[in-house]
Amino acid sequence: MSVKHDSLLEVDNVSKGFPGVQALKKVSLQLKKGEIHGLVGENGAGKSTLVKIITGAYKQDDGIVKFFKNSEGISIKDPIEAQKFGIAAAYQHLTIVPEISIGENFFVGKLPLNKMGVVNWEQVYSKSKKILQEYNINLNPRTKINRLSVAQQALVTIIKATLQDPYLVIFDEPTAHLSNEQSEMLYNLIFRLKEKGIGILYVSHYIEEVMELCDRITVLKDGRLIDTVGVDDVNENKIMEMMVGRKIEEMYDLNTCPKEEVLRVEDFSKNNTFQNISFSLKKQEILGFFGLEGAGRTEVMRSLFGADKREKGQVFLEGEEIFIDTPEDALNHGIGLIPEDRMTQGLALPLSTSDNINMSSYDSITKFGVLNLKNAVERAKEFIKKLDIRTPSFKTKVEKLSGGNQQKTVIAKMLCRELDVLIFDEATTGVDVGAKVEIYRIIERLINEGKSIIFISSYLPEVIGISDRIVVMSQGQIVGIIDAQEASEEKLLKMASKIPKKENFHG
Amino acid sequence: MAKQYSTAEENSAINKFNEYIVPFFKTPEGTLILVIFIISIALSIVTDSFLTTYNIFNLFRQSTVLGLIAIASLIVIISGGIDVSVGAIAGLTAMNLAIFLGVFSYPVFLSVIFAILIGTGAGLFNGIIIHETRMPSFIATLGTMTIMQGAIKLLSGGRTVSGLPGSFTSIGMIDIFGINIFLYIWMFFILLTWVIIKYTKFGRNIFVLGSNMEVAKLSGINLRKTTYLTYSFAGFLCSISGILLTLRLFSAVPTGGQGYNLTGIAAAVIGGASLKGATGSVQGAVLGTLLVMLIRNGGVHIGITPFVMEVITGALIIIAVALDTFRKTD
Repeated sequence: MSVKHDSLLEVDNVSKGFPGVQALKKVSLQLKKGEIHGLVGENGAGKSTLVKIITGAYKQDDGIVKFFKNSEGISIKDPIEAQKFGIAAAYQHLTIVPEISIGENFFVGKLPLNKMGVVNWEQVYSKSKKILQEYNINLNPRTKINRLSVAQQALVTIIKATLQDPYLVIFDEPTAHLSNEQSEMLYNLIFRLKEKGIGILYVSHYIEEVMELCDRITVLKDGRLIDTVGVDDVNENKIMEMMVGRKIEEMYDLNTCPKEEVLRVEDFSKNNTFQNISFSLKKQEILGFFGLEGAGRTEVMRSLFGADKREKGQVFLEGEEIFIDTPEDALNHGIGLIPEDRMTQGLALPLSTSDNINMSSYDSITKFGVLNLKNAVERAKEFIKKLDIRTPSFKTKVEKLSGGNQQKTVIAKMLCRELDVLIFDEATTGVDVGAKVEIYRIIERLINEGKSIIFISSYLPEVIGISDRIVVMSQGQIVGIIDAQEASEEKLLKMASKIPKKENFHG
Repeated sequence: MAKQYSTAEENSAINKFNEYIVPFFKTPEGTLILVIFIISIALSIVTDSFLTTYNIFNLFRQSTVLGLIAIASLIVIISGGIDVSVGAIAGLTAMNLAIFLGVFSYPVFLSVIFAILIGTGAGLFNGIIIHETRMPSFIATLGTMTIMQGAIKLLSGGRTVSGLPGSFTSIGMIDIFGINIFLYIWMFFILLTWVIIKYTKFGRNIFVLGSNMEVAKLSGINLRKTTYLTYSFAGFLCSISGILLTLRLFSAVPTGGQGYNLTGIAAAVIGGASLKGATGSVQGAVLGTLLVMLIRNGGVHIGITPFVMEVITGALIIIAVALDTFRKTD
């Protein structure tokens, strides 16, 4: 290529595979000096993998990544080297220490000393104040990071990243936690960086945002490069088509026939997390929940399940109001949850498969205070067979199982209880395609047994394919509930990318 | 090369050894049995006074107080916490018991019941602080330990309380089939705890809690109830230990139980309990106790001064924690 003069970064035919999935297939990308380059695609399109390869966190299987600080291309081995080289990834919250002040965070590792060899705090805070003012951010530099809101923390993290005199800054979903006003601040910050000739790679779901901010946009889908286009040559719909462009596969065809209402959620609200959430679930229905990261779907479900508190909202089960304060209450009312992250929320990793399957339901096999271990083992074996959990033995520690089999163990744990409503939160992420199909079959069987399902998913073909109706959320609010038959990937994405006007929701 | 010439039987014997014997001695319990065995043989050879019926029974009898505290520590460690107030609870129980008996002259049965209630209550208090404030268990129990150690001195006026009635002190002298009652009591609580850990919902729940609190919560486990029960049960075991301590000394001292706070934890950890939670066994805690007491007893027979024994006990704690780390990094 002969674009060396204004290129900062060239990614050339990069491929990367993980066990069971080819995350990137021959992707190329070129970033110019002073350019804001958007990187878009659905969840699982390979954006994060590409970012991790650029920052050196992953090593590509094939292809070349070259940086042009001077005229010669340089390859990078790991994130530390990347940082030294001037590549700042603003998504890395690790770079900020929550227990110390904003000012100390800005100067950590290079705190100014006075003649006595003692830290000159006056200077730290006056300089920090200046930096904050430069970006029109009205915060006291003496404030500790953990006293800031998530959004403020994000802004401070981003500013810190820019202090290291970078020449390329990567933003990965930076506005997920920001209000509209704070997003404006961020955009100003980004334009300032651009003026300095710094290259910016901006990863986002929000198409409107990318269209407004970026010079060029690269679209990925299923690990492949679709195209790189200039914003002036396209419109939002065109980008959306590029992101979607795929037919729903047959594997999602489940037989369902929703009946009368079984569960109704009314007016759930929690401060900055979600507002005015109301929806109902019918018997033997699969109700999909779609939204982009940070839309609040998981938080609503955790609150429904009693895992988190909320400010207001009621739950009705078969017409009668029920009160759920803890997950224990929810399970007793017949509501179960397969949580988002099986490793940290679903499984007791050091314990056996049998222990994990049984741990929600010891009451049903306890007599006079004593557990019937034989029943526990029988039940574990039964579910291992029924859900086809591939494990050497019921005694095998669950941490040794593959992702799909771990997920089926979490499902088995819930199925040991008498449940009417089961919430699946991103149940098919990180499991291989075979296990995915098996999970769909389990869901189909549950529906036939008369149960009702809430299915949170960020994968469009999946959520459209298996749901009867789809609730779409954006920034903590429901922006629409549509029939799956009328839904298209384009339509859902457009709804989910909408930024709801917050002031309308107080009236 | 030699392997080629060995017979099939020899091979199967070697296989069996590799398959069953070697892995057993690699478990914490197996290693401990081996270490205890080797030290015992060495002591029997080096001294005449170690391998006597009197000394062996005495060693077991002396182990009971620490033995019960080690099991109490174990329960808390499995649940993912740590309780440094276990010895103080035993000391508080012992002092109250001595005062009920020696000063107030309450009946023996009633005094024992009150003492158990005080110890169990102290444990419950730990559980309440830890669950309701989400304070690290180490900090919470460090506080209650200090409170209780102060309370013991306040109650006793800093003096030893003795003059306990014979109807009480004679209990400690009871032998059944030539074996002292202390050992039956220890054995009973070892079995009880083993059954609770293995065969009750509470027992299984503490493993889940110890492996990941969020997982426990989302699995519908009642965190409050489980935490309260864990620390109450630990307090209950410590109160039994405090009663045995009083029986052994015929009195209660203002510093009672102080040496047991950390030694109890050490014994549990030597026995394979992981401070990261969800790992540990009653058998291990019992063997850990025996090793600690064996080393102390052996020191007396070889003629090492108590001050050196303190140093050795300290080293043992370090070895215990190092073992925990090595097991984790394996």
